[in-house]
Amino acid sequence: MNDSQNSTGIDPVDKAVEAARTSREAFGQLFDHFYPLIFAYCSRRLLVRAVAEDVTSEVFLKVAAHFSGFPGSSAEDFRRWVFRIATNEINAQLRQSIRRREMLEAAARMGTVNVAVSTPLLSSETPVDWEDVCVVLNELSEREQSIISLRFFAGLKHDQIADVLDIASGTSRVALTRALDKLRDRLPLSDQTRRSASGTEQRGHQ
Amino acid sequence: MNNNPHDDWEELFGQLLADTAANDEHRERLRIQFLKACEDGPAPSSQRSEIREIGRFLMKYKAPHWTVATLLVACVVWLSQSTTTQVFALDEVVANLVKARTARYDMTVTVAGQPTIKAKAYFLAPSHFRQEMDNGYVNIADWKARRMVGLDSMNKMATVITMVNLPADPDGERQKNQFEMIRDRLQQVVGDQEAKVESLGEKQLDGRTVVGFRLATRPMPMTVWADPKTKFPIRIDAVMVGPPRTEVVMSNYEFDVELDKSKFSTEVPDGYTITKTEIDASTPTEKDFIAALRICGKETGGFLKGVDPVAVAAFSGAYMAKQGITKDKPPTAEQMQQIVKVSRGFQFAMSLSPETDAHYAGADAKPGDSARAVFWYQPEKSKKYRVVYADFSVKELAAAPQIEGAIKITP
Repeated sequence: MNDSQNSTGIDPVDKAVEAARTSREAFGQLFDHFYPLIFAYCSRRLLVRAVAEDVTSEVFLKVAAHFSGFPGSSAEDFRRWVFRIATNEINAQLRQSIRRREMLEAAARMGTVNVAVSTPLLSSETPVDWEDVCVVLNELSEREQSIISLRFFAGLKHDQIADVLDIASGTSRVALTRALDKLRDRLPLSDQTRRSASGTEQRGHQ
Repeated sequence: MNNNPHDDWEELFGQLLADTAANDEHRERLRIQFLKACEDGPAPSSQRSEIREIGRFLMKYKAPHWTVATLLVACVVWLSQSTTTQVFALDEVVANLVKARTARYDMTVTVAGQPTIKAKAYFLAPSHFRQEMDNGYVNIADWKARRMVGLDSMNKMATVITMVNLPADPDGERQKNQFEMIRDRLQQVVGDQEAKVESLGEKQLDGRTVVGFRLATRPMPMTVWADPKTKFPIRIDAVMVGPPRTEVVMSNYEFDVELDKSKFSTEVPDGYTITKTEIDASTPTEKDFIAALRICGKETGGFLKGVDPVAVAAFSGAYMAKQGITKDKPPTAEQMQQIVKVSRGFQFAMSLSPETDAHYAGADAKPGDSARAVFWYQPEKSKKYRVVYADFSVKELAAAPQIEGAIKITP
């Protein structure tokens, strides 16, 4: 059951999507519903508030500009569409070295991953830095980054991720598992390598 | 026990302390834009982001409005610094342009490698000019009063600029705003039998039949598209070859429309925080150029990649970041002066004619290196080159230095 459904069983967001073609108020409701979701998604992926706000702006202005051509009729259709636009915008930002650098600087300020959280996953007694997590994440393919982002930063389910990325749901599951394996494998390795290399940076991300 | 094999990862990423709380101001502002964009139809509306993008590029992570203003002012000042002479039989179009008491048009400025900046421009005779940028920033100039005001309504910040040492000639180009300057140049072309004008014939432009003329005027070629019925221009394209190449497009012209005079007031509305500064409008000299290089050296530790408007804006960004200038901490008049001095100094280089063979080679030079030439030019009627070195000394040489990567300065 969709948590936005009301007592009548009709999802108000579904209703807003339908009405938005002719109603300014409904269009505003769509904004109100999706703005916090998209901003949180951008913010968690990009880490820099100003950049996240810019990308969020770009997403919604694109939505407004192209809404007349939006083919869907349900909240789920709209969610898929808006997250696809957001994912494309985020990826476009992260193709720029300055954005990646900004993100890594923000991640560096966040310090280390909580030990209790990181050790079961990473088989290491030394907690990893958020900066390292972000570096490794950025090393993955764009599609793998998108799947991880949509899953953990936007909180989408596999069928929703599949819809956003226009892939099969099973593909999304397999790709996520493989991407996380890569993430796990690279994190402890990079940590140890860096220590054994007497402080020499291996990934050149500074 | 976890049923989902990814729960641990969920927990890990859940520890990410990203600030996901939406900013009410941003949300409200965007909501208004979003609804407006919806009403306006499917026109892409990413201007605000583009402008902020420029700002961030220039600011190395920060984007207060002064940087954007600096870039715009630099472009406009650069435009007004260029000189030209030339041609043709656009006379009726130009005559109409000269008679116009008011004008309203769209303006875009594209500096090579940078996103396009868009603005709505208004002219009110005799000398009032107003530009409204898509990001809400407004520039109002009264060149007769030698006063310019920049208003950032979003942040309630105002920059008041007074022009000093303006040349006395009331018909001088620097006394003119941008609209008048374009108009004057077209007048010069009409009156010059030697000017090269190419007729481009008729074409359809935004659903209207227009007649085009290309003016091969150096250093700023222009193309004029006019309505053959009304004999008024509809669009004027101007190109400054650079580097950086800068294209200015003025389109959707409307003439003698009723304009609200109060919109041209250079008085700052109540409630704004004001930063005042002066711009020395006298002709910049080599001394000003060297002073600009010194300021850049002191504030950035080196030489900039160029001496053009983009370099000025890049310096502004770096300087403001270094000074800790933010939206909440506006620049002082002294800090503004540093930027103005750099802009003014670089204008010296940018206004040298092609015949002076001016070159800049400072990009990788180290301040203090007395053997490294960073700039040279051959003044008119001189057989020697004036060469500026990285220690800011100047020598006269019989030949131009040979430095790999030197940029030829083109006005």
